Amino acid sequence: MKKKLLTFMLTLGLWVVFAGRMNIQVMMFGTIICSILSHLLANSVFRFVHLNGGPKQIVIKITYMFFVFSAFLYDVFLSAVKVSRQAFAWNPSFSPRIVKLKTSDENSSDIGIFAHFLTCTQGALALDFDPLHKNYVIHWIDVDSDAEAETRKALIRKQEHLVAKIFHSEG
Amino acid sequence: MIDFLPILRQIVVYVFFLTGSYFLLSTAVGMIRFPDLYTRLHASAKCLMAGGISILMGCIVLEGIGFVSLKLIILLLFLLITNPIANHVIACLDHSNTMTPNPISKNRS
Repeated sequence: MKKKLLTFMLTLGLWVVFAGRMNIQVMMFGTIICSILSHLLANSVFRFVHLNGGPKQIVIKITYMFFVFSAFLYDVFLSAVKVSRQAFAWNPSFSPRIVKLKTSDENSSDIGIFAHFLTCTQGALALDFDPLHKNYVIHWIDVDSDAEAETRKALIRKQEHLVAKIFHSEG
Repeated sequence: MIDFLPILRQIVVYVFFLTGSYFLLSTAVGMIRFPDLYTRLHASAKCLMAGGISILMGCIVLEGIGFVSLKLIILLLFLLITNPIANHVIACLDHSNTMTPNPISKNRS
């Protein structure tokens, strides 16, 4: 019941923001739609939320998320500059390569968010995730040698640990 | 005395809009010039997101603190969530159909 109520309140808040005005018709229509949505989605939405810990822990995590998110935005722009340089280059050169990267993460939110993170950064694109062998399938656009590939893998593992900390209790 | 704040705001807005336009243009050019699906997805994932963020940030700065800015921030969040998912779904479908990327460095166009 708590989950449904929270989902209802969140969706109604979004409804009010996007509607842009408050009157009885808008609120009635919003209430009906948000009730249906919260009834359908409450369980599946909260299944992916694994935040635990006290209020202090959550404040630390939110601060941590802010820093991770800032680094993510910086990386997006850096990566976009590299790709756009290739787009406007007279003779663009690519060294595409598909690699598999093993992960130790068990948490589904963790895996999803990190795949998300990968898609926007460092010339990498998350193609697939193999849940049986716990492998990310990644496409790289500009990796020329095996040594560079290993460096990239080490960097990705470092980022993976940073993202994984969001969902682990030690913060 | 000249009020510098609106001028500064206009400059910031222009910088955001120019940056966003550059990235969106590079997305379009990349989609045409890049040789295979995966490299094109790189263009659509990174440049489109950077362009979208820049344009929306410019709109937020132009609008100031208000209800419209809140809407724009929510749009920004939706963009951040949905763009990588769309790219991932296309790439995943393609990968599961066992297409491999072209190991070439030459532009076909």
